[in-house]
Amino acid sequence: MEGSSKLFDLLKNLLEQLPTLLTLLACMIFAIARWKRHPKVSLVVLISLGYLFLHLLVFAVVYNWVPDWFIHSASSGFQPTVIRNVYLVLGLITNTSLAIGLAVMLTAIFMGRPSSNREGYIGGPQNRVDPQ
Amino acid sequence: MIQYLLAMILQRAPLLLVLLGGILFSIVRWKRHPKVSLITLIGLVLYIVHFLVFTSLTYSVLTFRETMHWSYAAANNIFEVLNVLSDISFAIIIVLLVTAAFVGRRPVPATGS
Repeated sequence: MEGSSKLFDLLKNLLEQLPTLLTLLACMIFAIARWKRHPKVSLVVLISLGYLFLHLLVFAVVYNWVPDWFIHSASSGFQPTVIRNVYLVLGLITNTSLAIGLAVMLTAIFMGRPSSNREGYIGGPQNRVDPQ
Repeated sequence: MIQYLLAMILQRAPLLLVLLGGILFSIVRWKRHPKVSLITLIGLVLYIVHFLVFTSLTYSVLTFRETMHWSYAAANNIFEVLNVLSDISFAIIIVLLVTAAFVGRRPVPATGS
């Protein structure tokens, strides 16, 4: 009975995150569509989006089950402290993991860009005529 | 309120460090890639605003629940609405960052024959 209630909670949690999950999927499709034009950037963006997608799924499961294991195993006198500490540690782990995904995305944003504003566009250094 | 906000900042310290690092990097790269830096900056600043707004709203709901004697069910309903709104704003931030990754790039020239 408790198991089905937990599954329902997980489903509800995932439904609340549906806008982000759908956006991540749409962005992944966009990155794949851009693969031929910018293979390296698309790869890094795909890694970041895939990681964020997994992050959301994994931590939805973790938050659904893990706190209860610690809270139920603690003696009743220590439960408020255990609850506070469990959520603090889980919050730190979740946010560190999210920070990794965002750092990869920031790498994708600035990677492979020419050092000058004019470079990289048509007429950039690769199209210049060598004076010699 | 301050104590709650500090606890939330402590929990999100690694994420906030990456966001601040990204903001600094965007400003440094502004002259080279103004459009990319602007979109990235908007996305990252929006993320920090999103964090501050939803942390304050969560705290307000918790406070109102006690002072106005809301039921747990009522507070839970409000939290669910807040979660969905928070999720939609996170989705907008993702779209902005993915846009920044591809904007202003010249296609890689085809290799081979």
